[in-house]
Amino acid sequence: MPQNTLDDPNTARKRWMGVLARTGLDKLEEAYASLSSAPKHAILRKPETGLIMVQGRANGTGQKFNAGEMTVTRCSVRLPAGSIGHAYVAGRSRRHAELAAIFDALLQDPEHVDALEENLIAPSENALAAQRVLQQRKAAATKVDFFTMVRGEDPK
Amino acid sequence: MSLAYQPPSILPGFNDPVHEAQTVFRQLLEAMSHPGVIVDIETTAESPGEMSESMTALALTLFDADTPVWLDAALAERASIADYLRFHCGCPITQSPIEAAFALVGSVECLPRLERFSMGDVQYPERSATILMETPQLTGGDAIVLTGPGIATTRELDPVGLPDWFWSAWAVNHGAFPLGIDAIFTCGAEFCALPRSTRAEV
Repeated sequence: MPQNTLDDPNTARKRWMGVLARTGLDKLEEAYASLSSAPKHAILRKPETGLIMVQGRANGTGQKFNAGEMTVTRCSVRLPAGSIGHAYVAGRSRRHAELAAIFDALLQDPEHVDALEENLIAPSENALAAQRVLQQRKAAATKVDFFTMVRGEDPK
Repeated sequence: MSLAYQPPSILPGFNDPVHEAQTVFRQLLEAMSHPGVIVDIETTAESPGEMSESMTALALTLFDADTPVWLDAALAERASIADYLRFHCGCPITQSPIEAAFALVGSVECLPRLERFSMGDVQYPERSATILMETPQLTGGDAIVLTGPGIATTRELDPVGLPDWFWSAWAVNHGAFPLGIDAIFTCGAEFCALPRSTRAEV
């Protein structure tokens, strides 16, 4: 696997897969309903829920450690055109995993990629970014500055 | 937009993975406990390449991330088969027969010598290989008389297409009990099992 993301040919796909996984189910349903023709997809792997171990590295460079398990639902579909879509989505929503897989397959089709990028991926990415900023602001508001809490001298 | 790696088209596996795998596993238990009895599998899985329905269903049932699988030349030349197994079973594909927990043989005439597969070791005889072989037909060949556990008196088995040396090699394999490989013959939707405990006489 390439270490440098710039050299990774799958960068574009990673981005939209990430966005699809984080986009709310209602938004995906809406986008699916607004498709001009619903794709007749074949299920390669039915949506199935399982646990994955999330690993981290202290400071991004240290030893690997297990941060904890999370629930993930995955699904794989194939469109009549031949493209295969995969989705790994946090939580237990089977429909979310299925829709994310369908959109992943559609996005690999040059015919659909521009329209979907404009109507689904880009707006959703912006909404997610805005949500993230809001969350960061809320968290920042609760920040405590510990320098004001210097301990006094011990009484003699 | 073009992606650097275009994966080949993968076919669907079981429609209902848990229950179908359980059903097939139960049928395999029946076949293993009654060596030589031909069992019919019904499956919703679509077989990749040249694989028969029964071999596909058994592969989907038995293989997982802990079972290295070896493919013979006839199956390995179809990339779709290795891709199918990796996608649905998550099994590693090994190049050396001795490491394999399962071996899939597409053309039984070119079956490698049985010594090339793992027979297990004395502490862990279950670490041996199970070989699944596609045979042109399960009946109609030269009759072999089977005796052993699971067979009240004798049972006849007459698969077509096995290499000449197979039954003499099987006698050696049976003689090494509790070590030894287990064999499964597949053809279309049918299969039968030949565990290491079964004695075969030509």
